[in-house]
Amino acid sequence: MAVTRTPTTTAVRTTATAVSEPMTRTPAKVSIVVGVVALAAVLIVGVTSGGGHSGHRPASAPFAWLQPAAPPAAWKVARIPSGATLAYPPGWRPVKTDAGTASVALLGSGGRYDGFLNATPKSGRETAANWSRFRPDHNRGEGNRNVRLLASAENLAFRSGRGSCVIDIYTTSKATFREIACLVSGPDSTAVVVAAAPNAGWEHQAATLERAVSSFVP
Amino acid sequence: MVAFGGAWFVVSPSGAQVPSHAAKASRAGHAAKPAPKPAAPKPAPKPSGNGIPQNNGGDQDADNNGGPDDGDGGI
Repeated sequence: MAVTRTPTTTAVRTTATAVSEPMTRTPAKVSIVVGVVALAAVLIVGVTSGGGHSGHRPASAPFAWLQPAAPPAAWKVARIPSGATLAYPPGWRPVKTDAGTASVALLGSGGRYDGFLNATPKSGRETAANWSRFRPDHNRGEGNRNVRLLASAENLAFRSGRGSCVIDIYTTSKATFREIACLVSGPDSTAVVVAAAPNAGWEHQAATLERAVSSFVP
Repeated sequence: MVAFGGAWFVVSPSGAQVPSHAAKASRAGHAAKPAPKPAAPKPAPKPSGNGIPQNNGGDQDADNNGGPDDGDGGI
């Protein structure tokens, strides 16, 4: 069976609006207008039909930051029993986590999560194909509210293997978080990497979180 | 009903026995009401997806405390 190795990306589509004006044109002008409208319609159809999982597009903007690379030398590395490694920067520290997983966080005052990284071996029915539905559903199952998928992609390249990723937002009992969550399959194992931060402070942590995801090995 | 040393029944003009409660209802001038159905049992509370406890439940990790969700897939 042939396997497509090209990443596919889906992001929230934008829409365009136009204004109209009274029809006071001559028949010739009307013909020109009709032609222009028809051409525009063709172009719009072409653009929108290419916005989904076309299967032949490079990773687009939502995941353009994903550049597989080793972490910076100063970063520490957490390894889980299944073999996955999660790198994190100085100042972050391990926090309580499920057995067989690794979680590190940048904690603010009162234990506030200013940043969060987690590596977990595949442990449920998640697959590369269903990840864009599975992960938001999982977050809803955690009791979170207002779960909103911002972008998803499949077949993205990692340091070892390929993965499906989502970017989504959800609200817990304490804060609204944005996360990057990827299911990555390597030669020997499949694991999930999660990188999250409060949505309000996302811009402050985005580069660190993206670097951690880019250096993840499943 | 039992009276005068024997059992008495209400019969229709054709001679068929009419149940006593129907006869009473007929005399009262309105139809007999069906017996009320027993209330359906309430469904058990739906567990929240993976059953991840909140309020520092479970293993007290991040997603039990309003923190970010980890990557567990449902176990």
